[in-house]
Amino acid sequence: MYDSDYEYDVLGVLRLLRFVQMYRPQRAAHLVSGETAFSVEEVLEFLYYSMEEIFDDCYSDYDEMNGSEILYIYDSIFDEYLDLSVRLSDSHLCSVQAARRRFEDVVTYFLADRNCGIFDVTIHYNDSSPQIQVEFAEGYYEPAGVVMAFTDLMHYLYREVDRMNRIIEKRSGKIVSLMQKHLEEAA
Amino acid sequence: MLKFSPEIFTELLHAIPEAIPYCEEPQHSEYLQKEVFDKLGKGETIDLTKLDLNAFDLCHTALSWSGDHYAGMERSWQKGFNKMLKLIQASAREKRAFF
Repeated sequence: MYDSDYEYDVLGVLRLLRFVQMYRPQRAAHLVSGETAFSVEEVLEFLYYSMEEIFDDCYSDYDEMNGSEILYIYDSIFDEYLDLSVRLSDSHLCSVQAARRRFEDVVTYFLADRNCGIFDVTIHYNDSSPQIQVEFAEGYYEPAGVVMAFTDLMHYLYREVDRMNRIIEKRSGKIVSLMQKHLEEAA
Repeated sequence: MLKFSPEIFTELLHAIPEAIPYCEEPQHSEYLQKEVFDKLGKGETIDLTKLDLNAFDLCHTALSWSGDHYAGMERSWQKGFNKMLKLIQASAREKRAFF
């Protein structure tokens, strides 16, 4: 699209910056501070060290047994998404377990089969808060592809949370107006 | 727990969920072409602190083949879902979950 040899990796950088600007604007300035002479040689390093800015909390560990790197991810949007899924599904008899399965499907949909080095994705629940554990394949890792996958997932979750909030607001507004109507009729 | 409302219940039955695409349609950005890709192509460097992050959107940073990737994912998930449905025992199909 941009007729550049570095298009894939540079788009990863730009997508990361735009995402942070949209959802975490206070971090955007910090992310680019000092990057006054950014060249193509720095792209991969920048992506590798900056992708943690996509999430509230993100840290990595090295699995010596399998020789692979594992990324542990948490973000408050995960809790919000689960909470709203359950609230919105009251009338459909949706349980917490069903909402969790749905969340796991969403995460798998966006992170699996990306051909960017993501080997395995698992979700653990600490005090009902989900934490995503991403294991990378040994010796193969594409930061740009990983950033694309993470931003796609987070962008989808933000939009879904917004959509569910709007439905809940609309529904509560209707209930209030119905109750007012009943009260007026009774009076 | 919300109070049961027949009006809202009926409306929900007829409501079509809002379709949200999994990824935005990739679009070209003149700003990125000129300020980023053309400069990098000439071997120049970019001052990221001066890059206007509001001058472009996520759709301008989407890969041209990302839509194909998600379409492929959808097809394979639908195949898996159909396979699961075929494995459901005939007796279970008689049960009604909601009505």
